[in-house]
Amino acid sequence: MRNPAIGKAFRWLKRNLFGGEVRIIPKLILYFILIVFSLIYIEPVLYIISTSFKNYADLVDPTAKWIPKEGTLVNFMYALEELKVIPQFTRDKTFWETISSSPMFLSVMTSVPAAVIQTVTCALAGYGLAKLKVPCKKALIVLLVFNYIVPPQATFIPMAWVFRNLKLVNSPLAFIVPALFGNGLKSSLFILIYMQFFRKIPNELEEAALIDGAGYLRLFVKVMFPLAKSARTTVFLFSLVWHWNETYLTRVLYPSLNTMSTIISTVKEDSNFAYWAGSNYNIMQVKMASCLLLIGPMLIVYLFTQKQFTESIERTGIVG
Amino acid sequence: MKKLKIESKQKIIGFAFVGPWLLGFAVFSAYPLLYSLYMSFNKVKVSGSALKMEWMGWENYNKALLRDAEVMNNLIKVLQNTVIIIPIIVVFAIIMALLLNEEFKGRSFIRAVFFLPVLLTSGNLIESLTAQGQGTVSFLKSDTINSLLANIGGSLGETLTMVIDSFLIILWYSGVQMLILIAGMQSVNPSVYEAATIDGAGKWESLWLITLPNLVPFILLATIYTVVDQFTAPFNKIMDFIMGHMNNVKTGYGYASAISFLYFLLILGMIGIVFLMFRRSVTEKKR
Repeated sequence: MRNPAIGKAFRWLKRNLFGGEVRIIPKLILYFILIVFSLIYIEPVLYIISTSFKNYADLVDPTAKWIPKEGTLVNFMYALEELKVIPQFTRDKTFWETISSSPMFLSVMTSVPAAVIQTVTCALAGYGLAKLKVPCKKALIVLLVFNYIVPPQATFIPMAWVFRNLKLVNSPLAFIVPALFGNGLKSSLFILIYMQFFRKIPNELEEAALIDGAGYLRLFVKVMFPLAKSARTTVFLFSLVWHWNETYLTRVLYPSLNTMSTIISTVKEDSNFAYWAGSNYNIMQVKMASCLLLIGPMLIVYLFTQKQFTESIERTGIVG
Repeated sequence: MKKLKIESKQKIIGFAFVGPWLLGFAVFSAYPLLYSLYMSFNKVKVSGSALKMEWMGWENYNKALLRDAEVMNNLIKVLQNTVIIIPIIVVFAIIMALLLNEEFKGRSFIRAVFFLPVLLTSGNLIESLTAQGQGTVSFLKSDTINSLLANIGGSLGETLTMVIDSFLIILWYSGVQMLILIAGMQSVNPSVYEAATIDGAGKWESLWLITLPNLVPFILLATIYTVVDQFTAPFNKIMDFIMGHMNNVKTGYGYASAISFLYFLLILGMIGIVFLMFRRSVTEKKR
């Protein structure tokens, strides 16, 4: 006696196991691989978060590997001190001097204005190279790519000299001024991203706007730049994060100042804290707490832009 | 006559858009590069705030290439590490991009996770993490694998150990490449796939006959990105080496510039090789 329902289910399974609409086995393999790799990607972030909340007992307790049993906030106290997040006011410095040399302020001033400016200036250059008649356009594009390939190591001595002569050293202007001229951090890459985006926009759109009497600048401001939403999100996010995490140029251009990302490497065992804090101070946890303080703001920005960002890939966005 | 006028007017407008970038390029990129090239042929002395040059011809290069064994050792070491890691990163990025391009539930979440490292990779952060043994993936560090690698021995074993030790670096530095490749896959017209399915092609055939051939220019782009990214990565030891020479009174800026130019030539050479490898497939596609 055969049950027709079982037979039906069996046939459905047979049809869909490898092929059909559902493709069970390939789907399972896909999920398995993606979940495993996602865990690998998330692990360091979880490690940073969980370690920074651990006290010594939690650190040596293998059963508290991911979730600290006791938990503590003391690591953040030390990390805040080590990263000099809270400006230390002294008598020999004015209020402004103290604020403007604090790592937190410098990190923000290095990344946010430069990122905003780059998002606009790179779009201008990208639009020009993609859509307008520019003399020797091919040569300029070659220069652009060439500029991307040159390692910063090859030029940084005279570059530091140029910045010193332009009086841009030791101030956020060191990142803002090049960004204004579309030559900031990884600008070549951003211009290329915009260029590829604008190339895909049909010419009819521009012609229509121009017939309506709009000038090129108006066309760019009113039509093209708003249209480039996906490219804009990508460029802004990358620019912000890369400026925020920048250590190499910062060391050259801020010889006597520190941003949060450069000061983080100075968090060391032999600091004064270990002396007076005794067993309360654990370098591993304090280091991870400092890392969390550094990446925290970027994690938050990513949480908010993440949807736009991953969608922007969908809509041709980056290189198309 | 009037047409000519319009054309030159348009050129001026185009130039106005690109001009600021060109000016910035001249000041912040071209001038330093040429000046650095000039310095590499000189002995540079710092006296006060001014630089004093003394022409030396090819002396700095001769020294770096022929007499200073450390330069060659460092360059070769960097080359060894990157030559192995670059193809691994690119292949990994291709496979992951193919998977992420599939339709499945929770795709945007998984994508967000995969691109997370793009936003967090900072040299100092990675140093802090690898210092605490987070540079590798725990399940790859099992005893069986360790003893297996010890048995292989030799340079192959060493290389494999290196790859496993820096597996996280490979994962963390392939995010942008995945972005490039996914965007490339999206640029293929969906109707091509539909036509192929009607003609009876399965998923596997579509992958080899449509997706990958269309992806070649994007793979080239991703490879070039990887080359530049890896050679200028902050954990690269050559940087410290150059910095060391710059601060060294005996050798100074001139010698440091010469080394950095040799390094630059090495990168250019790598990119040249990448182009040669891809040239055939790219030109074939154009035909």
